Amino acid sequence: MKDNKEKVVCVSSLGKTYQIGDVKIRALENVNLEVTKGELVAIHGPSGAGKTTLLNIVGGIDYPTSGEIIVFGQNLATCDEEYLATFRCAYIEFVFQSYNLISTLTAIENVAFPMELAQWPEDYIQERSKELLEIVGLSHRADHFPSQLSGGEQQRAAFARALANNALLILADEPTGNLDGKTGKAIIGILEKLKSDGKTQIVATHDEEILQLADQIIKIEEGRIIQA
Amino acid sequence: MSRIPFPIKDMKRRKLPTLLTILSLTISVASTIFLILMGENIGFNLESVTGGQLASGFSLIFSRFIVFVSILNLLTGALVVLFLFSLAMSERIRDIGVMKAFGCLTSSVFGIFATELFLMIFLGCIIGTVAGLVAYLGVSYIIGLSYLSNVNWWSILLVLLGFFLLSHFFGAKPIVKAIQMKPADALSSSHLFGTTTEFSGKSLSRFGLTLRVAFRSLMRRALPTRNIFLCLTMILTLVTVAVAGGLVAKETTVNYLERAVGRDVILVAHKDMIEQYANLLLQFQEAKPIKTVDYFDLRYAIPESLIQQLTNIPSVTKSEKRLLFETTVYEGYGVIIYPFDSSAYYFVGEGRSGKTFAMGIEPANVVSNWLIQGKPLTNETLDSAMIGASLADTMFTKPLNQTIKISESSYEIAGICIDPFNNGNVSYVSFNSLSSSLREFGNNLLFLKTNRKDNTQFLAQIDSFLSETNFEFLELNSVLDENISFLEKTWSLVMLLPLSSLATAVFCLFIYLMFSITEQQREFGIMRALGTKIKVVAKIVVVQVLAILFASSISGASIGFLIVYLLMIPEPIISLSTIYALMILIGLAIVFLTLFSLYATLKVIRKPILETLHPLLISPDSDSDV
Repeated sequence: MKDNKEKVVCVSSLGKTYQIGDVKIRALENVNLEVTKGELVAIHGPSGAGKTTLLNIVGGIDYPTSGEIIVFGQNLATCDEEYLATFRCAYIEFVFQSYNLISTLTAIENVAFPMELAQWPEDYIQERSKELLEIVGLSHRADHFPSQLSGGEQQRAAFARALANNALLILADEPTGNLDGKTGKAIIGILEKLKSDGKTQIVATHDEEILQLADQIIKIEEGRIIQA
Repeated sequence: MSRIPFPIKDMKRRKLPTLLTILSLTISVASTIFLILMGENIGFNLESVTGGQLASGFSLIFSRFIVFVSILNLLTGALVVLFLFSLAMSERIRDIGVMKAFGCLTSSVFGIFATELFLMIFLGCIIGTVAGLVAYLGVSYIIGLSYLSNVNWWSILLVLLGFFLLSHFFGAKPIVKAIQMKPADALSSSHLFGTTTEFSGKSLSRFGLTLRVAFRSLMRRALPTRNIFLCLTMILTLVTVAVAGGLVAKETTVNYLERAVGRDVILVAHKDMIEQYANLLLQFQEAKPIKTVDYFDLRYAIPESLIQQLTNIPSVTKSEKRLLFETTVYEGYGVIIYPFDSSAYYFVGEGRSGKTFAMGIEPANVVSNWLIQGKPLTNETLDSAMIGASLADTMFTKPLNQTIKISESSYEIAGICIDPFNNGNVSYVSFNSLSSSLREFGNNLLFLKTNRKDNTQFLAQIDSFLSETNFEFLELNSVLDENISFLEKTWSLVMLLPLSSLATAVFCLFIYLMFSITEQQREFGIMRALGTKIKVVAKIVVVQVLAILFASSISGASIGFLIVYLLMIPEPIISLSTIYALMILIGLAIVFLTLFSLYATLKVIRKPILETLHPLLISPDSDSDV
């Protein structure tokens, strides 16, 4: 069945090594993975296993040291920075573990930012930003700066930003990791909705509820996939 | 666990901020010490060639220039320390919150950061002093100035003390501000971000993403924006004072010289008198022996008939007779009345005397147009004298309140003029106020001011009138040009000094920008992770840099010009060519600063995204037991 579906991500023999001083750290080793359109893939494993590194490479903000990473038919390992920026803007959105909202922009401006990059019309951006904040339940905090939002609110704003350009692939790193149960449930609700909308999602998580929601669960330890 | 004290360990692990702070202090101290020592050395050299001191009026402007540039240098260094520490402390507020949350007393936290401040300032001052001294000795050796005997250790100590105190004062402010924060406030995420003010930026929406994001970031990060604006304003004030001050001072002092001697003036006198007059004018640049002349030798008296003939030449626009003589002058006492109590007064003057030159002039016809402090002489003020600035400095306490005795007559000192004649050791009185015996002699100098266009014909006419007499003529332009050339050479040497300040300014700016942009690099990383191209991020930063540079250039240049015009140079002269030169030089300085800042920017922007998303400035290879 899987072979008939459109492959969104295709990772083969992927490796990543970091050099810190004289020490080499193998973050990923011989990773193979396929993600098809509309799938929600959950990656779990202990801290330091390489989940974030894998997401970063799939998202094109880091390069592998070996292997191949093909996303929407593009081998990202061979693309230059400029191309990757355009590629990310068109196809991929991130939800970072530490939210990474731009501190000098308000919640609504943060949500609008990817659309401004994509040069949508001003009216559309305004309308869509409000709509997205409404979806994540943050319309009452639209004009607040990240520093004035709680962790959960920042995470929801980050999700709203990830939905802005209708990206085909959403990468979320521990989206419920720092949140209380209630806010975590709200985030899971968003993931469910995205899944029902046919979005492809790769989520690094420890959250049991997300794992239950996933179409594919990958366990990663010491940089290797040990269970898929 | 390491036993190294926390402040030293902390400084070692935050290598980049520590090095940048020490480096900026080192450069500021080094350039100030170099500036002051070189200034004094050039001053000594000028004194030695002029056989005493440069004519007071001129040396006053020279020393004011050095003092203003040195003070600005000192302030720039201290301000840079303030801003570097403000930035460093804003990064450390969370650490302070953690320390306080774990029970560290406020005084202990202050102790830690104050120790770091002290160590950085101490190291910066010591290394800066050594570097300044080495630079001074090296440059002195290269340009052939004598140097070893001229090292003024007191100046060095004063600069060190100034830097030490100012840097501690400015550097402690952000520490005190940070440690006074409650632990809960310090730990809250609001201090991780620099957002301080609201600015919608809606008015900029039509200008596109780049401008909108650039201005939002600038306006909302009010504190860093204000800091860099102030820092750049100070740096550009320094640049303006150094460049504009030097150029305007040069042009103005040349103008003082021209005004005192007179442009296109012909001197008619006996050959001995012409030689003597020219020699006395050239004393301005070099102390040459002065011949003994009997100024009242009848051969030197110019007959009235000849004066009439020469004055009647059509090209003569002005003629002036003078009687030059050497005499002993005496300082007269003056009475100073207290401003708020007219019955209280005190005497000034020490009854000093000395040999100098005096000239009887016709105040209504003078070909000179001296820069005068006080009042000029008039035909009516028979009881007044005007004295040269050097004479005023060396022989009088409060010259404008005192009298001078010349040839048995006492005069009130009405004005002090800037004059190169005998290096400013001269006094002028109205010819009519001289004693009858002197007046009977007549005049031994005649000055004719002319229109330069028909100079050849004019000189031929004078020549024909003088051919059968003992008198000769001299175009004073030749002597004037020699003096101007000397003055210009002096200024070109002096103008080299602010180069060290310019270097300080550029380095401080570079260091500050590195800090400031590093602070923003996480935001750039987020933007890039969201798909913003490096080019767009670069454009955003370029807009920010240009906006700040534009605003600070206007304020810095304005303050600099005000300092030059209102405080540094009396009656400043500025020609169109100087304006163009200034515009080009200041423009070049701004372009240079922009390029430097862009270099710093691009260096940061080009870092891999992941690197910018993680906290930087901590060396990854540092040992980890804190």
